[in-house]
Amino acid sequence: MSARGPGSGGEDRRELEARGAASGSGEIKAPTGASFAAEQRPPASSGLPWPSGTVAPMTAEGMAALRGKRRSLFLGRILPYTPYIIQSGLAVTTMLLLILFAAWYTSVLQDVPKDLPMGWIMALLLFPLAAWSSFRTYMKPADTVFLLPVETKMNAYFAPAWRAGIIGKLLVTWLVMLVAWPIYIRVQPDDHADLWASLLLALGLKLLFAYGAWQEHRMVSARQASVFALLRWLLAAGIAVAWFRLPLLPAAAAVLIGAALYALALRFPAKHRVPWERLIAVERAQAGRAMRMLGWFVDVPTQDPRVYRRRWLSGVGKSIPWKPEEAYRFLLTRAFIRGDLLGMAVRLSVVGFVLMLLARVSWLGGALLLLFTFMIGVQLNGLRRQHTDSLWLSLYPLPEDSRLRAGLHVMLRVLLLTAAFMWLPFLLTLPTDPTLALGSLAAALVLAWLMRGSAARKWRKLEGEDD
Amino acid sequence: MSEQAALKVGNLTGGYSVNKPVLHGVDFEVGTGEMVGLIGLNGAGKSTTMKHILGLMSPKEGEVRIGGALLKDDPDRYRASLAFVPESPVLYEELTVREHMEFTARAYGVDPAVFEERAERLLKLFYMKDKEHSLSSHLSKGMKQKVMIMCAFIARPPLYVIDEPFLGLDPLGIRDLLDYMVEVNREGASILLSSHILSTIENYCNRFVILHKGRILVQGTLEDIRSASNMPGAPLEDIFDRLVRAEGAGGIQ
Repeated sequence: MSARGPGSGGEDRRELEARGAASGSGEIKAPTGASFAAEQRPPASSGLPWPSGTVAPMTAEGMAALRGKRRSLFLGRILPYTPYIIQSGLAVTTMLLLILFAAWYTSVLQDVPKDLPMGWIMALLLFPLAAWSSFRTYMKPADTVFLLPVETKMNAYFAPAWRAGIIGKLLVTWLVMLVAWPIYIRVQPDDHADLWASLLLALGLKLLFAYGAWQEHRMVSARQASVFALLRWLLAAGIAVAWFRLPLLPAAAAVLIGAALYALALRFPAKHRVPWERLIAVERAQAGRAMRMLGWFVDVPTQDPRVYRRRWLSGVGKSIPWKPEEAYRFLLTRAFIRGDLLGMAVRLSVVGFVLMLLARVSWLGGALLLLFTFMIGVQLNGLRRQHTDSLWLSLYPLPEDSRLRAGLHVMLRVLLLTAAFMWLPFLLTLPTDPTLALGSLAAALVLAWLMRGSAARKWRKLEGEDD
Repeated sequence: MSEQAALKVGNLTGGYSVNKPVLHGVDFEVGTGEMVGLIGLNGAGKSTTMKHILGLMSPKEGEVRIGGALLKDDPDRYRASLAFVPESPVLYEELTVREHMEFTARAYGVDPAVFEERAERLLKLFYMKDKEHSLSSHLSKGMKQKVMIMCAFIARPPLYVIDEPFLGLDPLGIRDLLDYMVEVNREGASILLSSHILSTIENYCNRFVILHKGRILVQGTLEDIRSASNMPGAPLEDIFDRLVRAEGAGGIQ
């Protein structure tokens, strides 16, 4: 599924530069790699309102333009991968899922079950979308030196980030509500929560929680910030439930009082004017996440991994044989239990587990089990990219194929474990339909094995190309 | 000596670009149980020399042998004979201090019991015992450097290549590192050490190789270098100063 992407050519770049310097032309021939996207663009089209080479004036316009420039540089790194993502089958899968969804949606609309708890469902759909807040600031570590002197003017820099952070998510929220609305009014035609008021509420909540999330970034105490983040999610859930479950007056009162108290509470914690270090860390994590998501489809240069301590897993990997051939497995296992990949595998397994609880009685359950095993397997392909460029892997006396073997070993173990976990609800099906229950398990385990085989072939090919 | 030399850099020419080598005919040895100081200005070619020794760069001309073996002949033996302490710490963010040491011990095939013993001693020696379970991202620059040093000493190979180890180390760390280097040296290990703190390494290294613009200006014991530069009894720093400045003016008269 993955394709070999552009931008893996740091070597080529040096070579090109060396060649350019040697030939005296001073020009680098337009490279095709993503990492050169910035260089490809002629300076005149940088989008800045002044000629290239001018020192950007630190006006509001200048600050906004600086962020705009950084944004386009980031997009320049990402966009060249788009064709590879489409090739990877994402477009086809998305189309297929859309068609399936449309068919399901039409059938539900034609025959809406009257006992559907639509109030709860609407609240469940609205609250995460309302609470979800993030901002792309494109801040860099050097900003603590070069932008610190203009700290008082940084709002001009952040304004586009706030706008972009709110508008995109608001549109998604509205879209989800608009799609769910026809079902909602068929089940509860007389409810007070009418469409316009609900869309307006979504707008209000997005503004409120975006403001709240920004204040969390500014808080001096990280502990207070996490408490407020929790509060944001709880309040979002509370307001969403109140709006769709209570009569108009109590609902409106709950929304207004909750929002007012929250806004008031946000004023108390001590805050930085600009939370430099936090914003830089958050930005790095977000950029890393974007690159890792790309990494599901294309071979992209790895970013700084995000690390979680996860003390409760510190015993994992202790039993790995104490041999040079298995040393890399030790490193990879530790990296896996503290990295993002584990989080993704767990999240998907839990969602899969819940879906299996609902769907375990029909063939759909088996199909979903295979789908989720497949999705986890696709993500685990990221194991190959862990520490690809590590200095120590080239210096330590490790056998050549130990990276590949360890990656496949960990991948298969995780796939088998998650597939078995997601299959557990089928235990309830076992007495009534043992063929379905055992057949699903067998199919999932075979799929796990096949995915390992496919990864082995693909990784070997990619290793060959790297060499 | 060259047959038994722990490290033999033979007439090495090379660099990042094929047409513009950084090193020109660099030729020196580190004997068994010897500590050799590689010194030079920024950009003199010290790190490039080390990268060639580590096998991260390939020579355009010449060769590098460790214990008589070339990297391509016997990569496993070559790698296992060498530990490296880089100028800037390179750590895995997902590993703790102790896990870095454990990974190194596993890779070099150090016996688990021996590992435990060495790890305990090193953690205490470098005042890192209370940090052994900290993730590397939570360490200061100097502590990260200590992790690099401890990993190298966990492996106990016959040759250490140590690049600017004192940067960021606290005064006790510098002293402990020097003492430890002397200890492994006495046990027969060889060390190639690059540093700018000439007054410190003057008393520790058996011999010195002074690099300038990718060429060896002079090499030998402190006495050899003193007589080559007509500066009897002078400290290394003064000799280095004179040699390098004189090179700019056309050499020592």
